[in-house]
Amino acid sequence: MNITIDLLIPPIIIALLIGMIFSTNALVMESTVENRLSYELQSTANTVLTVIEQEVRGIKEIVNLETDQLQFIDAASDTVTIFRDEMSMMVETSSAPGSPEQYNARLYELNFDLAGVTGSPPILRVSIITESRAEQEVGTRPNRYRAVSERDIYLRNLHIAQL
Amino acid sequence: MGTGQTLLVLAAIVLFMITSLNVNRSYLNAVEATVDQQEMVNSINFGQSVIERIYSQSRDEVALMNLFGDLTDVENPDSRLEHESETGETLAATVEFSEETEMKHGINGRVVSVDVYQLENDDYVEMAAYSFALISEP
Repeated sequence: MNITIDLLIPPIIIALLIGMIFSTNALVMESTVENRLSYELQSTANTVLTVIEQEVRGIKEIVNLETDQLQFIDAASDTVTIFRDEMSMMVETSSAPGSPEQYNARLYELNFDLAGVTGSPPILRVSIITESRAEQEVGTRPNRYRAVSERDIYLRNLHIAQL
Repeated sequence: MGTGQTLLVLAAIVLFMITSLNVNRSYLNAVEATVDQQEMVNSINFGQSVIERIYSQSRDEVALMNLFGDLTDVENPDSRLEHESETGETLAATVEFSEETEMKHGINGRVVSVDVYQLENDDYVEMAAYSFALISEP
Protein backbone atom coordinates (compact mmCIF):
# COMPACT_ATOMS: atom_id res chain seq x y z
CA MET A 1 0.00 0.00 0.00
CA ASN A 2 2.75 2.39 1.00
CA ILE A 3 4.62 1.65 -2.18
CA THR A 4 1.54 2.44 -4.32
CA ILE A 5 1.02 5.84 -2.63
CA ASP A 6 4.70 6.64 -3.01
CA LEU A 7 4.38 5.97 -6.72
CA LEU A 8 1.14 7.90 -7.18
CA ILE A 9 1.78 11.12 -5.25
CA PRO A 10 4.75 12.56 -7.22
CA PRO A 11 3.01 12.45 -10.64
CA ILE A 12 -0.13 13.98 -9.11
CA ILE A 13 1.88 16.79 -7.57
CA ILE A 14 3.74 17.40 -10.80
CA ALA A 15 0.44 17.44 -12.72
CA LEU A 16 -0.96 19.95 -10.22
CA LEU A 17 2.08 22.17 -10.57
CA ILE A 18 2.03 22.01 -14.36
CA GLY A 19 -1.70 22.81 -14.35
CA MET A 20 -1.13 25.82 -12.11
CA ILE A 21 1.74 27.09 -14.25
CA PHE A 22 -0.29 26.79 -17.46
CA SER A 23 -3.43 28.41 -16.01
CA THR A 24 -1.36 31.25 -14.57
CA ASN A 25 0.32 31.83 -17.92
CA ALA A 26 -3.04 31.75 -19.72
CA LEU A 27 -4.47 34.30 -17.30
CA VAL A 28 -1.47 36.61 -17.68
CA MET A 29 -1.75 36.41 -21.47
CA GLU A 30 -5.50 37.05 -21.39
CA SER A 31 -5.07 39.99 -19.03
CA THR A 32 -2.35 41.54 -21.19
CA VAL A 33 -4.41 41.22 -24.36
CA GLU A 34 -7.55 42.49 -22.60
CA ASN A 35 -5.71 45.59 -21.31
CA ARG A 36 -4.29 46.38 -24.72
CA LEU A 37 -7.60 45.79 -26.48
CA SER A 38 -9.72 47.83 -24.10
CA TYR A 39 -7.23 50.70 -24.27
CA GLU A 40 -7.19 50.56 -28.08
CA LEU A 41 -11.00 50.34 -28.31
CA GLN A 42 -11.45 53.31 -25.97
CA SER A 43 -8.84 55.37 -27.80
CA THR A 44 -10.43 54.53 -31.14
CA ALA A 45 -13.93 55.49 -29.90
CA ASN A 46 -12.59 58.81 -28.59
CA THR A 47 -10.65 59.49 -31.79
CA VAL A 48 -13.69 58.75 -33.98
CA LEU A 49 -15.72 61.12 -31.82
CA THR A 50 -13.09 63.83 -32.26
CA VAL A 51 -13.05 63.29 -36.04
CA ILE A 52 -16.86 63.59 -36.19
CA GLU A 53 -16.75 66.68 -33.96
CA GLN A 54 -14.30 68.39 -36.30
CA GLU A 55 -16.35 67.43 -39.35
CA VAL A 56 -19.70 68.64 -38.00
CA ARG A 57 -18.53 71.90 -36.38
CA GLY A 58 -19.06 73.74 -39.65
CA ILE A 59 -22.52 72.36 -40.49
CA LYS A 60 -24.59 74.95 -42.33
CA GLU A 61 -27.50 72.69 -43.12
CA ILE A 62 -28.48 69.12 -42.30
CA VAL A 63 -29.62 67.32 -45.46
CA ASN A 64 -30.43 63.91 -44.03
CA LEU A 65 -30.19 62.46 -40.56
CA GLU A 66 -30.59 58.75 -39.92
CA THR A 67 -29.51 56.60 -37.00
CA ASP A 68 -26.14 55.66 -38.49
CA GLN A 69 -25.84 58.23 -41.27
CA LEU A 70 -25.52 61.99 -41.32
CA GLN A 71 -25.52 64.08 -44.49
CA PHE A 72 -24.92 67.82 -44.25
CA ILE A 73 -23.64 70.89 -46.06
CA ASP A 74 -20.43 72.18 -44.49
CA ALA A 75 -18.91 75.66 -44.27
CA ALA A 76 -17.28 75.24 -47.73
CA SER A 77 -20.73 74.35 -49.19
CA ASP A 78 -19.63 70.76 -49.82
CA THR A 79 -22.12 68.01 -49.13
CA VAL A 80 -20.57 65.65 -46.59
CA THR A 81 -21.91 62.22 -45.70
CA ILE A 82 -20.74 60.36 -42.61
CA PHE A 83 -21.91 56.78 -42.51
CA ARG A 84 -21.05 53.34 -41.23
CA ASP A 85 -19.84 50.57 -43.52
CA GLU A 86 -19.61 47.36 -41.48
CA MET A 87 -16.92 48.15 -38.86
CA SER A 88 -15.56 51.24 -40.63
CA MET A 89 -16.64 54.85 -40.56
CA MET A 90 -16.79 56.50 -44.00
CA VAL A 91 -16.69 60.22 -44.74
CA GLU A 92 -17.64 61.14 -48.30
CA THR A 93 -17.59 64.69 -49.66
CA SER A 94 -19.20 65.99 -52.82
CA SER A 95 -15.81 67.35 -53.92
CA ALA A 96 -14.48 63.76 -54.14
CA PRO A 97 -17.50 61.62 -54.98
CA GLY A 98 -17.03 57.86 -54.99
CA SER A 99 -13.82 57.92 -52.97
CA PRO A 100 -14.77 58.30 -49.31
CA GLU A 101 -12.26 58.54 -46.50
CA GLN A 102 -12.28 55.25 -44.63
CA TYR A 103 -11.59 55.13 -40.89
CA ASN A 104 -10.87 51.67 -39.50
CA ALA A 105 -12.94 52.43 -36.43
CA ARG A 106 -13.97 48.89 -35.37
CA LEU A 107 -17.53 50.17 -35.08
CA TYR A 108 -20.21 48.15 -33.41
CA GLU A 109 -22.62 51.06 -33.30
CA LEU A 110 -22.66 54.62 -34.66
CA ASN A 111 -25.62 56.75 -33.63
CA PHE A 112 -26.58 60.29 -34.57
CA ASP A 113 -29.46 62.03 -32.91
CA LEU A 114 -30.55 65.65 -32.98
CA ALA A 115 -31.26 66.47 -29.34
CA GLY A 116 -33.50 69.28 -28.17
CA VAL A 117 -36.89 70.49 -29.29
CA THR A 118 -37.83 72.66 -32.27
CA GLY A 119 -36.69 76.24 -31.73
CA SER A 120 -33.95 75.36 -29.25
CA PRO A 121 -30.29 75.44 -30.29
CA PRO A 122 -29.34 72.41 -32.40
CA ILE A 123 -27.35 69.83 -30.45
CA LEU A 124 -26.07 66.72 -32.20
CA ARG A 125 -25.77 63.70 -29.93
CA VAL A 126 -23.14 61.27 -31.21
CA SER A 127 -22.74 57.84 -29.68
CA ILE A 128 -20.01 55.40 -30.68
CA ILE A 129 -19.47 51.82 -29.58
CA THR A 130 -16.34 50.03 -30.74
CA GLU A 131 -15.92 46.27 -30.58
CA SER A 132 -13.03 43.85 -30.75
CA ARG A 133 -12.84 40.98 -33.24
CA ALA A 134 -12.47 37.33 -32.27
CA GLU A 135 -9.05 37.03 -33.91
CA GLN A 136 -7.69 39.85 -31.72
CA GLU A 137 -8.44 37.93 -28.54
CA VAL A 138 -7.01 34.99 -26.65
CA GLY A 139 -9.03 31.79 -26.55
CA THR A 140 -12.42 31.06 -28.08
CA ARG A 141 -14.88 32.82 -25.81
CA PRO A 142 -17.99 34.16 -27.59
CA ASN A 143 -18.15 37.59 -25.90
CA ARG A 144 -16.33 40.55 -27.40
CA TYR A 145 -14.80 43.63 -25.70
CA ARG A 146 -16.51 46.97 -26.28
CA ALA A 147 -15.87 50.63 -25.48
CA VAL A 148 -18.29 53.54 -25.53
CA SER A 149 -17.89 57.23 -26.25
CA GLU A 150 -20.81 59.65 -26.49
CA ARG A 151 -21.05 63.42 -26.55
CA ASP A 152 -23.38 66.28 -27.39
CA ILE A 153 -22.03 68.72 -29.99
CA TYR A 154 -23.42 72.22 -30.36
CA LEU A 155 -23.91 73.11 -34.04
CA ARG A 156 -23.13 76.81 -33.83
CA ASN A 157 -23.16 77.59 -37.56
CA LEU A 158 -26.52 75.91 -38.00
CA HIS A 159 -27.90 77.78 -34.99
CA ILE A 160 -26.75 81.14 -36.31
CA ALA A 161 -28.20 80.32 -39.74
CA GLN A 162 -31.55 79.57 -38.08
CA LEU A 163 -31.69 82.88 -36.17
CA MET B 1 8.31 9.58 -0.07
CA GLY B 2 9.70 10.73 3.25
CA THR B 3 8.23 13.37 5.54
CA GLY B 4 10.87 15.90 4.49
CA GLN B 5 10.06 15.48 0.81
CA THR B 6 6.32 15.76 1.45
CA LEU B 7 6.82 19.00 3.36
CA LEU B 8 8.99 20.40 0.59
CA VAL B 9 6.34 19.57 -2.00
CA LEU B 10 3.63 21.09 0.18
CA ALA B 11 5.72 24.25 0.53
CA ALA B 12 6.13 24.36 -3.26
CA ILE B 13 2.37 24.06 -3.76
CA VAL B 14 1.72 26.81 -1.21
CA LEU B 15 4.22 29.04 -3.02
CA PHE B 16 2.51 28.41 -6.35
CA MET B 17 -0.88 29.06 -4.80
CA ILE B 18 0.33 32.42 -3.51
CA THR B 19 1.72 33.22 -6.97
CA SER B 20 -1.54 32.16 -8.54
CA LEU B 21 -3.55 34.33 -6.14
CA ASN B 22 -1.32 37.31 -6.91
CA VAL B 23 -1.79 36.79 -10.64
CA ASN B 24 -5.56 36.64 -10.12
CA ARG B 25 -5.39 39.82 -8.05
CA SER B 26 -3.44 41.54 -10.84
CA TYR B 27 -6.06 40.40 -13.33
CA LEU B 28 -8.87 41.81 -11.20
CA ASN B 29 -6.96 45.09 -10.78
CA ALA B 30 -6.56 45.30 -14.55
CA VAL B 31 -10.29 44.72 -15.08
CA GLU B 32 -11.08 47.36 -12.45
CA ALA B 33 -8.73 49.81 -14.18
CA THR B 34 -10.51 49.17 -17.50
CA VAL B 35 -13.93 49.83 -15.94
CA ASP B 36 -12.59 52.94 -14.19
CA GLN B 37 -11.21 54.17 -17.51
CA GLN B 38 -14.60 53.76 -19.19
CA GLU B 39 -16.33 55.57 -16.31
CA MET B 40 -13.81 58.40 -16.48
CA VAL B 41 -14.31 58.78 -20.24
CA ASN B 42 -18.10 58.84 -19.69
CA SER B 43 -17.72 61.57 -17.06
CA ILE B 44 -15.37 63.67 -19.20
CA ASN B 45 -17.69 63.39 -22.22
CA PHE B 46 -20.74 64.26 -20.10
CA GLY B 47 -18.93 67.33 -18.75
CA GLN B 48 -18.07 68.42 -22.29
CA SER B 49 -21.69 67.83 -23.36
CA VAL B 50 -22.86 70.12 -20.54
CA ILE B 51 -20.38 72.77 -21.67
CA GLU B 52 -21.69 72.46 -25.25
CA ARG B 53 -25.23 72.96 -23.94
CA ILE B 54 -24.17 76.02 -21.95
CA TYR B 55 -22.45 77.49 -25.03
CA SER B 56 -25.58 76.80 -27.07
CA GLN B 57 -27.60 79.06 -24.73
CA SER B 58 -24.93 81.74 -24.35
CA ARG B 59 -26.78 84.14 -26.70
CA ASP B 60 -29.81 84.18 -24.42
CA GLU B 61 -28.96 85.17 -20.85
CA VAL B 62 -32.50 84.54 -19.55
CA ALA B 63 -32.74 81.05 -21.05
CA LEU B 64 -29.20 80.29 -19.87
CA MET B 65 -30.02 81.16 -16.28
CA ASN B 66 -33.39 79.40 -16.43
CA LEU B 67 -31.77 76.19 -17.62
CA PHE B 68 -28.50 76.19 -15.72
CA GLY B 69 -28.68 78.93 -13.07
CA ASP B 70 -30.04 76.76 -10.27
CA LEU B 71 -27.97 73.62 -10.81
CA THR B 72 -25.73 74.10 -7.80
CA ASP B 73 -26.44 71.21 -5.40
CA VAL B 74 -25.69 67.64 -6.41
CA GLU B 75 -27.60 66.24 -3.42
CA ASN B 76 -30.83 67.89 -4.53
CA PRO B 77 -32.56 66.18 -7.52
CA ASP B 78 -33.99 69.55 -8.66
CA SER B 79 -30.57 71.22 -8.58
CA ARG B 80 -28.50 68.88 -10.68
CA LEU B 81 -28.38 67.77 -14.29
CA GLU B 82 -28.73 63.99 -14.53
CA HIS B 83 -27.70 61.66 -17.30
CA GLU B 84 -27.53 57.92 -17.70
CA SER B 85 -24.54 56.80 -19.74
CA GLU B 86 -24.59 54.11 -22.42
CA THR B 87 -22.85 51.78 -19.99
CA GLY B 88 -25.51 52.34 -17.31
CA GLU B 89 -23.83 54.71 -14.84
CA THR B 90 -25.86 57.55 -13.37
CA LEU B 91 -24.01 60.81 -13.83
CA ALA B 92 -24.89 64.23 -12.48
CA ALA B 93 -23.52 67.70 -13.09
CA THR B 94 -23.67 70.99 -11.23
CA VAL B 95 -23.00 74.40 -12.78
CA GLU B 96 -21.92 77.58 -11.05
CA PHE B 97 -21.66 81.03 -12.64
CA SER B 98 -19.52 83.82 -11.24
CA GLU B 99 -20.74 87.41 -11.26
CA GLU B 100 -20.26 89.12 -14.59
CA THR B 101 -16.85 90.77 -14.56
CA GLU B 102 -14.49 92.41 -17.01
CA MET B 103 -12.31 89.75 -18.58
CA LYS B 104 -9.22 90.46 -20.69
CA HIS B 105 -9.21 93.20 -23.34
CA GLY B 106 -12.23 94.94 -21.81
CA ILE B 107 -14.66 92.12 -22.65
CA ASN B 108 -17.25 91.21 -20.06
CA GLY B 109 -18.05 87.63 -19.14
CA ARG B 110 -18.51 85.02 -16.43
CA VAL B 111 -16.39 82.18 -15.20
CA VAL B 112 -18.42 78.97 -15.32
CA SER B 113 -17.57 75.91 -13.23
CA VAL B 114 -18.97 72.52 -14.16
CA ASP B 115 -18.55 69.58 -11.78
CA VAL B 116 -19.38 66.04 -12.84
CA TYR B 117 -20.33 63.34 -10.32
CA GLN B 118 -21.07 59.65 -10.54
CA LEU B 119 -23.56 57.82 -8.35
CA GLU B 120 -21.77 55.10 -6.39
CA ASN B 121 -23.53 53.28 -3.53
CA ASP B 122 -26.08 56.11 -3.13
CA ASP B 123 -23.31 58.72 -2.94
CA TYR B 124 -22.23 61.15 -5.60
CA VAL B 125 -18.49 60.94 -6.18
CA GLU B 126 -16.78 63.78 -8.06
CA MET B 127 -15.26 62.54 -11.31
CA ALA B 128 -14.34 65.66 -13.31
CA ALA B 129 -14.29 69.43 -12.98
CA TYR B 130 -14.22 72.12 -15.65
CA SER B 131 -13.81 75.87 -15.50
CA PHE B 132 -14.16 78.13 -18.49
CA ALA B 133 -14.98 81.70 -19.48
CA LEU B 134 -18.31 82.54 -21.04
CA ILE B 135 -18.10 85.81 -22.91
CA SER B 136 -21.23 87.96 -22.72
CA GLU B 137 -22.89 88.99 -25.94
CA PRO B 138 -22.12 92.64 -26.70
